This record gives sequence, C-alpha cells and structure tokens, in this order.
Amino acid sequence: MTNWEWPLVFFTVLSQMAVGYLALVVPATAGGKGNHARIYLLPAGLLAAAMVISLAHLGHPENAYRALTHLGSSWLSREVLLFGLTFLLLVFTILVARAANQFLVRVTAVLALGSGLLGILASAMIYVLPARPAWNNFNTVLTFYLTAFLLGPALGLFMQRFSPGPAAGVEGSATGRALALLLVLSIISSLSYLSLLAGAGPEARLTVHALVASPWWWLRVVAGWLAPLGLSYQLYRKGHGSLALTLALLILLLAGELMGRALFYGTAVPLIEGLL
Amino acid sequence: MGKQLGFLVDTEKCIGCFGCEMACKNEYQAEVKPRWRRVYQQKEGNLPYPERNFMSLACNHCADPACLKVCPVGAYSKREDGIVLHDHGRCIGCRLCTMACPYGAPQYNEKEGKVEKCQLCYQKIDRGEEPACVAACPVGALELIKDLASFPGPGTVKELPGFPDITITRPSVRFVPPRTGIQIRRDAE
Amino acid sequence: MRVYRSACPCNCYDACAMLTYVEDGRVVKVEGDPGHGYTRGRLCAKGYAYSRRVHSPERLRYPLRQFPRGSGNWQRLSWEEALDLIACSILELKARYGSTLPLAYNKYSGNFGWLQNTVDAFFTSLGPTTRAGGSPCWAAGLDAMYLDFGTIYNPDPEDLASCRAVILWGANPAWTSVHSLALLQQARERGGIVAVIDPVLSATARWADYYFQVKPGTDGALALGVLAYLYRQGHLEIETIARYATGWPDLEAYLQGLSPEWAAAATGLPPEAIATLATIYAKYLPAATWIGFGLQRHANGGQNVRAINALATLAGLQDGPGGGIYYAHQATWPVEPPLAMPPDARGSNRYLNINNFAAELVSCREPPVKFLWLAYRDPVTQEAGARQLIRALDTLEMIVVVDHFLTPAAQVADIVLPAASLFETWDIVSSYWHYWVAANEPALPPWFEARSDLEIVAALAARLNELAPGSSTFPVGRQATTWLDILFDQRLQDLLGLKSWQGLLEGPRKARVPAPPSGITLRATGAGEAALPVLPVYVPPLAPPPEYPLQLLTSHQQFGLHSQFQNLDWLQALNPEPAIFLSPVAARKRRLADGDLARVYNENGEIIARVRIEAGVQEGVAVAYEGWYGKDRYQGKRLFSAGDYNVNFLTSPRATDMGNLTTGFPGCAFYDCFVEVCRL
Repeated sequence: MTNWEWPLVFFTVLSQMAVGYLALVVPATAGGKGNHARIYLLPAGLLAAAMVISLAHLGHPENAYRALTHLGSSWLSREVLLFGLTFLLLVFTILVARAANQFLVRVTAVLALGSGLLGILASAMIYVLPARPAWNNFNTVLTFYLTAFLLGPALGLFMQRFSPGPAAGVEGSATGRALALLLVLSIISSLSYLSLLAGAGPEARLTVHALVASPWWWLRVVAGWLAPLGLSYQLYRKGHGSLALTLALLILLLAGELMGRALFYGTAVPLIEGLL
Repeated sequence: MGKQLGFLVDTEKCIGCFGCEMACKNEYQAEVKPRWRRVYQQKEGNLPYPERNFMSLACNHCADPACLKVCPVGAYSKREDGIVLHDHGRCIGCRLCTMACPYGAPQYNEKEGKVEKCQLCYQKIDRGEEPACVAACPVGALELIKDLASFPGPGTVKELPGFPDITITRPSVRFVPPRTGIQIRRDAE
Repeated sequence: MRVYRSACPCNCYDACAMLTYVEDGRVVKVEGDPGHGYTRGRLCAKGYAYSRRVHSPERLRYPLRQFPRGSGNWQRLSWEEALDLIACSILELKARYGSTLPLAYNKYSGNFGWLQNTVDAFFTSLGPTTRAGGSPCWAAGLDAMYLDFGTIYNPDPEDLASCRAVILWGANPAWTSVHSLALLQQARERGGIVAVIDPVLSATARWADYYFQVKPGTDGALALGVLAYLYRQGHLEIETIARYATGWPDLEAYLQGLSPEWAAAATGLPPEAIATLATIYAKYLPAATWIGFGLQRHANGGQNVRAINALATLAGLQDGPGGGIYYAHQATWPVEPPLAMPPDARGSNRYLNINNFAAELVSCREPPVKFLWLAYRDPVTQEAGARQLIRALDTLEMIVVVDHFLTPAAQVADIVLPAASLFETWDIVSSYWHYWVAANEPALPPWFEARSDLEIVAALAARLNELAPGSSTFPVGRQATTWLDILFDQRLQDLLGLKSWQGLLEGPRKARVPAPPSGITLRATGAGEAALPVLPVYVPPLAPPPEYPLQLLTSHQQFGLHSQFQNLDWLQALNPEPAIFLSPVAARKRRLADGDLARVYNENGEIIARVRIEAGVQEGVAVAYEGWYGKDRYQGKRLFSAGDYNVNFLTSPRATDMGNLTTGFPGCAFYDCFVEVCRL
C-alpha cells in the first residue's frame, strides 16, 4: 500500500517553505527599505515551482485549471485558488515594487502572506479525512504550519548570509532560539501524535507500526530534528552563524521535512484495510 | 431527493466465488485494475469472523458521499435514485477521492490517468435490468435494494466488524450477518 | 452486436450454456444462458473471464516449431510445413517399425466437447496406435460405484433442493460447482441442513451447517463408524436391508466389531462427532450424499467410497426423492464414432496407463513409442511425477501439442499447433453431473491461423493420403456438423427427445434421467477377483514417513480449471502467486511466518511457494493447489514460474486401489503425497 506521492511531497513542502519565508520577510520589510522586487522573487519562484511540480501528480495536468471549479466543498479547489492568488499577488508586488509604490507593495505583500497562510490551512484540510485515521486530526494542520515556520526562517537565515542586505530583520540569535523552540514543539507534537494513533483504531495502529519500523522515520528523527536542534542552539549561543552553518541547517531541515512528508503520505493506512 | 438505491450483501449466503467481481469486469471489459467490485475474504483472528467469511463490496453510493465533496473538478454527482456517478470526462486524475472514500471505491486507472468506480450499472438500471454483479450471483447473496428508506430488511444490519465507520458517508449498503455452523475441527491448538 | 449460443466445454460439473455477445469479431461479453436449467443464466468467475482467454495476447496464433526441443527457439511455420513435418514423421516411423504402434496420443479433459472423439477416430484411421488409457480424475470412485451398484448412476442433482440433509463428502462445490450451491441454499431455506466432511475447512465447509474435519484418507472409518452406530442404535431397517443389499450378513458381522471410539481414533474426530453425523443420517430424510473426487485420490480411495456407499445406502433406504448417492455419470455422453482401420492394419490398440504414463512410455517395447500427440491437456502440469514425464518425453522423436497457449507441455514439444477456441467451432457439451445438454455454435471468425482439432486431424489425414495413399481412413471432407449428426445417435436422441441435435440450437435441453439401481452389492465378488476386500471394510490410509510428516493435498484451485484460466490477467489479479497453506501450529514449529517464501520438498523434488497460515488447515496437512503454471517473471524476479511451482514435481504416480474395471487402469493417488516445508 506504500505510495510516497513525491510530487505532493515536494509541492506541499516547497509551498509551505515559500509561505514561511513570506511570514519572515513581510514583517521584516514593513519599514519599507530594501529591494523588494528581489526579496519577493524568491518566494514567488518557490511557489511557482511547487505548483508546477504538483501538476506531476495529476493524471491529466492539461486540465488542471478545472480544479478551481468546486470551491463550494472541495478544499483542493480552495487550495489551488489560494496559492494561485498568493502567486499572483507576489507577482503584482514585484511589479509595483519596480514602480516604487511602497504603500501598494506593503498592501499586496500582506495580502499575499494572508492568502498563503490560508493556503496552508486549505492544504492541510484536504487531508483531514475520516477515511485516513492517520490524517484525520489536528496534527495534520499543525505539521503543515510547522513545516512553514521551520523552513521559512531557515531559508531567510541562509539568504541573509548568502547575500546580506534586504531581509535585515533576520537576526541570528533570535532565529536560532525560535527554530530550537519550534523543533522542540515539532518533536513533542509528533510524539503525542504517535501515542494518539497508538491508542486509536487498528488502521491508526498500523500507521504507527509502519512509521516506527521505517528507517526513514529514524533518519528523519536524527537529520530533521536532533541535528538541526543542535545547530540552532549553537546559532542561538553564537548570535550569528557561518554560511556553512546556515546552509547545513537549511538542508537538514528541508531533508527532514521532505522525509516526514513522504512518510505522511506513505503510511496513512485507509480504513478499508481493516477488511484485508 | 427521491429513493436511494443500495446493495444488500448477504454474508450468510455468500460463498466467495468472485462471480460478481468477474461479471463486472465482463460487463465492461475492464482493465485488470481498478477492481470496481471486490470480494474481501476475512481470516480467522483478524476480525471476529469465521474463517473464509466473504464480503463483496463496490461503491456504496453513499447518502453523503465523500468523493463528491472533495472532488476539485465536480466530477461526481448524485442521481435522483441515489446513484453516485463519476464523470470520467471531467476527471483530472488528482486521486483525492481515492483517499477520501472510506471504502476504496474510486480507484485510479494508471493507463487512463483517471479515476473509475462502480456506477451501479446505471444504464442497465435505466433499462429496468439488474446490475451485472447482482444478476451473476449464483446464490442470491447480492441484491439490489430498490428503496433504502423503506427497506425493512428483517435480520439485516447496517455494518459488520471491519466495515469502515458508516457515520462518515452513510453508505447505501445493508448486510445479512454471517452464520457459522457447528464445526468439529482438528486444527485447534 | 450479435448473440450466439455457446457451451463451456471444460472439465466441470456445471457445464454451463452461455450466450456470447460479439461485436466486430470480438467477444464483448458472455452471459449464462437463462434457458439452462442447472446454471440458470449465471457463470462462474472463470467463465466470466472468457473474453480474456479467447483474445489473450498470449494465445497461440500460428503453427510453431521448436528446434532444438526445449531450447525456446521457436520458428513460425505455415500449416503446410507443419503438417508435412508431422506426416513425414508418421510415415517414416510406420515404415521403420512396420507398425503404427510407435504413434501415441494422450488427451484428456481440457475440452469435453463431443467432437473430441474425432481425434480418437483419426488415430483409429491410421491403424492400431498407442493410447493413454484410464483417468486421472475419478477412476477409483467409478469402480466403487460399479462394484456396489453394477452401474454408474447419478440422481438428478436438481433434486438436491428437496433434500432435508445434504452431506458433501469431500466435495467443495463453492469452488468447483457454484451453481449447485443455489440448490443447497434452497434445501436450507426449506429447513434442510448441509454437512461437509473434508480434511480442510473449505469455502463450502465454512458455509455449511455442520463441518467434520477428518484426517485425510480416513473417510471409510467415519462412514463405517457411523453405520455401526446406527446399527447399534437400531436405526437401520434390517428387513429392508436384507432384501435390498446382498451380502448384508457379512457386513453386519463386521460392523459388530466397530465402535464410535474406534472410528474417532481413526479419523481424529471426537466420538460425539460420530453420533452427530449418525443423527443427521437417521433424522434428516431424504439425505443426499455427494461424494467428491478428492477423497478417492488415495491408495485406499475406492475402498473409502465403498464404505460411504454402504452408509448412505443402508441409512437412506426410506429416502424420498433426492436422497441417495451422488458421484457422476456418463449417461449423456456420446461414444466414439465407429471407423474402420486401414485394410492393411494388423493387431489392436496398445493402452498405456495415463496415470503412469512416463514410466510406461519409456518401458514400452516392440515397438517403442516414438511419436506423441498431446491435445486437450497439459500432462506436465497435471500428471503425478511431472519431472519423470519431462524426462520420458525427451526420449521421443516427435511431440506435437495442440493448445491455446504455450503451456509447460508445449514448451517441451517439437511442433505446437494453435487450437480454435469454443467460440470458433461447433460442438455439443454434456455434463457428468446434471442432465442438461447444450449446443455450441461458432461465434467468431478464426483466430489468426488457429484451427479446430477436427480440422487439424482432417488436414493431416488428407496430407498423409497424398504422401502415401491409403494411410488413413479418416473422412477428411466430413464437416463438424456431420460428425455431430453421427454422434447424436439413437440413444442420445431418445434421452433428449430430439430427432436431431439442431434442436439444441433453440436452447439447452435436459435428458431423461435413467432409473436408479435396484440394489447394493455389499459383498462384491468382482472386488475379490481384483485382490481387493470383497466387503466395504476399512483399509487405513498410508502413514507419512518420519522425514516427510506433512500430507500434501493438491486440490483444485478456485481461479483455474486444472491448468486452464489461471493464466488470464483478470484471474491472476485474484490469485497472483502460488501458496502453501499451513496450519498455525505447523507453521510455528517450522518458524515460518505468513508471507515467507518456503521450499516444499520430498524425495521427488521441490517447489517454491508463499507461506499462507490458515486456521482451518489441520496440523498434519499442507495444501498447495494444482494447475498453476505461473509466469516467467513476477514482480521483476524469476519467481513462481512453471519450473518453480508445479505440485506434480512432488507427487508420484502411485495407484489407487480401484479404477481398472471402469477405466482400464487404476486411478492416481495424488493426495498420498508427503512433504516437509522449510524457509527458502
């Protein structure tokens, strides 16, 4: 029954990283300094890439536009609408930034962020399905937002080191502390999630068994949680990290979230398994 | 909404011959996968069933279909008679319905890049005929319920152990529970 | 879209009549013919998959030659080339040995249509030839029936619906005769009960009201234990028995020495089970006893059937309609059409035991067999001791296989000829169970260059006569429909109440059911002459040797009919890999888990199968279903191919106690096969 759904893994993680990055840079640039066109190019590009990758999931990507037609009850329609809107707002932000209209930039950037944050909610709600006990809980929403708020700052930190300037608000020590706290939250919520599943029905228990038995899950624990936790603590203590450190942090977190997401898709045992 | 059609699965009569599943394939000359109708065989120990108890399931044409709700392109519709129809032409193959259905009814056809499912032989129903699976059952273990609301069904139940939670979608299926005879067996430990 | 009448000619109780829907030269649907009284418009899972068989991309399209044999180096031939090669081989052997006895054929149940007889007629037309005689299927049980009743009689199984008890003794109709379940269902709805006696908790056993799990091969002890119990309890009508059954005093003396405890010890059942079964026979009348073919595939199989015959007959003398013993019949089957051998032919046909074909093939001398025609069967998957058979076949000079697919037997042949399917030919099909007979009309144009078996032998006869005039007396111009005219003789006309078989084109028809036998011979002198016990006394089964403690039952599978159908994609989806079914205890003792790959082995060979642990299999038993010939690659690996899994690598051609009287040879004790299992 294992289906890793790679296009969905990359789509969700990259789109969440883009929104997380926005969440970092939109408040940081509220002051109105810096080259806004350049700042918003990165999340716009990431989101575009995520959406293009998501097409690979479809049997008929040429008809993907139809996915907007069932907004009344389909979270997938809403997700497509919200991320599409986020992307268009970012493009618009870049265009008005070139025209140096600071007020409009601020408005559209905030709107893009809002729409992106709602997009993550829509993404998560797609999977809150009673037919998949492993997904049918608050953890799905929490996990999706945690991915955004872990990867966004990590990306910002790296960009700051890589090409210092625009996102001036990304301060090493505070970011390191925030990341460490989010990682601890992520670990605790995952553990409580596992114990929740273990106490639920047989399909949920099958998911727990599959997770704990998977070497990928243990790799995710080490590479995606413990190692970044160490690095972010170091960052917090030092106040600022080297390029190598910020890059390592970004890569480890990204790899951990990708593995975690692949496991999310691959180990969700459907209810019908109970009959087999 | 008018009447709701449904299936009656008599697990007391069912012998697990898979005739219904193959009759469905024969009717539509379908690919190997997906399996629109599927006969599930339970094993002793997994569920509180006797060994070799069978449950023949297809789309349950739910009163509250999850597939219809989640589909981003609106490919699903519910007919007056309760049949949940999937519009193959509209489907873009996003597979969300395959994840949302508690019964695994919609399944992805890799070759076509689209989802398919049991449509309750609606063309046959419209001609006043029985669905292919029902017509094929040699022991009458599969019946079409013409109107679920007025289905009296003495001795029938709405769910059996292992059958996914019926409160999710309110499936239009009823069961006659299995009966086990007196078994004098030498395989006890 | 046109609809044609078809009839499934497979080796099956139900022998369905079908309606075939054809569009643009393709079968687009098959349905049961509602006019067939036994199958009532429904087919089995295999039947519904027919379109995948007739249009399978793997189906043979052209005559093929394999050179060298077994190399897999196949070359397409024209029919002229193929028939020339075969005809030259026949004529050369005939000249070399001055006889047609080096020519042999072996055919069986792959197609039970009436026209199968034309292949026998073709070989008769050549002169005396060597033939596979006997039956791998039902021989011991047939003899038991013949010894006890002096005839082979099957009541009308439609009467099962009016029985108060149906005892399925070693039969699993949920897999092998699904339409019969409808009748058992009716019997149940009228207050009757269904009991199953089987070493394995079959699908039918689970469904039944009573299930008795006996040790394999101990059915006779159960029957006699129950009979002795009924006798002690005074449930037998002794006066009627004395009139109806010859030899009763002898059996009475024997029964006096038997107790429920004895029967319980022999069968592995608790003593109360003997009383329970006795109560069913005493209280639920009429009672029908359906004796399956499986239980007679033991070295004591015929004797066990005789014991059951004694019980069912003596306990059921007051039975009304429907009661009695059900096994099989041949009342509605045609006889081989008469045909003269060539005028210069001398001597008579030579018969080799179909169940010991490999050994008899290589040991036969003066003259040896050099040419083999294999049709309507795959002995490599179906004959006990398949490895020996493959070696024996290699001693031949020419092997011709006529089939639909490149079966394991075809893979060791020199020439493979593509056979037409039922959808491309005329035929008539009868059942060995019910009394309905159905016609089959051609529904499709020929499949590529496939030809019917009749067309093939007719063309071969014509070629032989061109090369050497007078070699064959076969009427080469005679059409299939004319053959059917001849086969539909006066006896069959009377049975069916039809002047000509064309009446069947209006729908299937039921034959008159013959009169039941008038008595039972408990003291069968014919048995004594064959060095068998004259009375239906208990003969214990073979015990497993210590090194091979598991008795391997190689029963019929669900998704194939012997080696047919199991290779079709729709059915392989339900049955993707062969398995060895073990009891939880047997598996634990061997440290085997469900899903492990295991080696099943004995002195004859080994096979590889997936372990399936199933409560319902008793500890001393392993089950591996026959008839699988696999795929060359499975999930990317070479696994479960015909070379890895063939249950007949493990069986040996051990004879059953009976079979000579009715089939000319003993049957095959397929289930007296003992194995050990270990993790691969």
